[in-house]
Amino acid sequence: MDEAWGEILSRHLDGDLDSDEELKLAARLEAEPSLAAELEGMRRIRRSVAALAASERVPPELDSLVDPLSRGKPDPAALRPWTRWLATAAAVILAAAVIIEVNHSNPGPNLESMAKLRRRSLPAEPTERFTLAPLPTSSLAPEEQHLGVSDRLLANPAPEVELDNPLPLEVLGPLEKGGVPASEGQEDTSISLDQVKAKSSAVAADKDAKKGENTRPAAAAAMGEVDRAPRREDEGDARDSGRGAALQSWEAAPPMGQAQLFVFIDGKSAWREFTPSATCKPGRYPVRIVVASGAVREARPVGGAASASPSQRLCAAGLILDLEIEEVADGEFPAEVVVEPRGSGASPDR
Amino acid sequence: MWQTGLVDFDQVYERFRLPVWRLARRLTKTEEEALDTTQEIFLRVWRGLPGFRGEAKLSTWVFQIAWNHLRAYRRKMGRTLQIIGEDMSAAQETIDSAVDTGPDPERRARSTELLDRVHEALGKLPEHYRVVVWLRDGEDLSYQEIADALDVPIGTVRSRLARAREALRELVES
Repeated sequence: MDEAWGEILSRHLDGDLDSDEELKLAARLEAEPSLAAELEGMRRIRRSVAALAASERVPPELDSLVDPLSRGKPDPAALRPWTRWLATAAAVILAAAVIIEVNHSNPGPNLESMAKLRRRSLPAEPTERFTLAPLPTSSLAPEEQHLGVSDRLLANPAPEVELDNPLPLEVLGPLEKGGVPASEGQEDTSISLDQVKAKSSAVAADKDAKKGENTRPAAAAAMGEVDRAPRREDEGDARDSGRGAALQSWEAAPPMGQAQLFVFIDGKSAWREFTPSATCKPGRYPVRIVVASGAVREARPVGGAASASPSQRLCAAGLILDLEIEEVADGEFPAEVVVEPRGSGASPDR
Repeated sequence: MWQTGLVDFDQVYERFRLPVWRLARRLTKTEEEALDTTQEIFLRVWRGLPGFRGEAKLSTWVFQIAWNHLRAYRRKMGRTLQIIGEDMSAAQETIDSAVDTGPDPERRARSTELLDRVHEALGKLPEHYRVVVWLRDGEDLSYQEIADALDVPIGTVRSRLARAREALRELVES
């Protein structure tokens, strides 16, 4: 069937032909039964489409979906886009205004003001006694306030103290050896640089021996400490003698610096200074502590500087185990261990 | 009753909920899609009613909104042909309710078969043919109304309708 006759059949079904066209079609249908069959096929399909349409039912869910519109209360999705943007912008502006107003009416301490306080050298005498100190947000006048640890941490950023050749824990640490009483050598904190170097070279030699390397005699000799960093003829002896030399050196002159334990309790900070019983790398180490019966019973490192290795963090946590802090109630608290470089004798207030 | 412009929305919804739903059903793949698109169409109708001044017939205006949205939706979904058979349960219900319910079982079977075929063939038609044949044979719109709703010349409606019917007949009889 050509397209023109197809359109005529279609229009005939819809009553769109004029009388002339109808006459022509009637004559053609009579002469061409196949065209009449096609027309009948189209008519049948047309009725079927109508039947399909008539049988369609609206699902009940549609009414509930459109119902908010009928009640004139469009759901939020029905809002015009610009009204949604307007509402969002208004909310943002309101929130910003509130934040600015709050900050303006209640400015917090800044570094400058805290530095001024620090320069006044208000009482924060380092003692062995555990002291509770209020934070700057206290109702006390600033000049009457003790400096809290937060102030110190903010106003006096942690010194990036790096020993040239840090003393590795595995050799010197009494954590391996079983601990050393804090009172031992507490008075003697003046270890010479040579002694530190001696220990360092011994440690380095010990490490080499562990790795199976023969020795690094040239380096040790250059340090002038060959007697303390013995040449190793065989690996086992080397390890034993290296460790032995280091421990011997440590016992002779415990490489202790100063350390502080800060405890944060209900918005207040507290600290005590102590002489650590082992040497850890200087730095600040956040920990969580469990206090029971006036002493630290558990301490575990939490996070900390990325530069601090896990062993350093564990070392710092180990320093405060069983440390007495009688004024603190039993419980678990966030805390911080600050290890000062040996010989600095620094207190947190300095 | 919520009044907007010349016509109130309740009346428009009551009059066109079924035609719009049917068109959406023909031009989407699943009943869920048809529901979503129908809701969106009436949302657009609701938004547009305050500006409707009666220059066009209401039916033309509503179908124009429906067609524009459905066409955009299908374009967005990246489909040009409806895939028949993925949501046959609803389609079968429609066919079942449309078949000849007379006492002659043979005639009933033939009617069911024909409706099945027509339904399937409709789904295979290109959408610009399908919408024309549906608006004409399903919704009984005039050529002019279809031309206005689809925004095409009336001659295009005539030729598309003829081709669509011919294609449909071939599909059904093949």
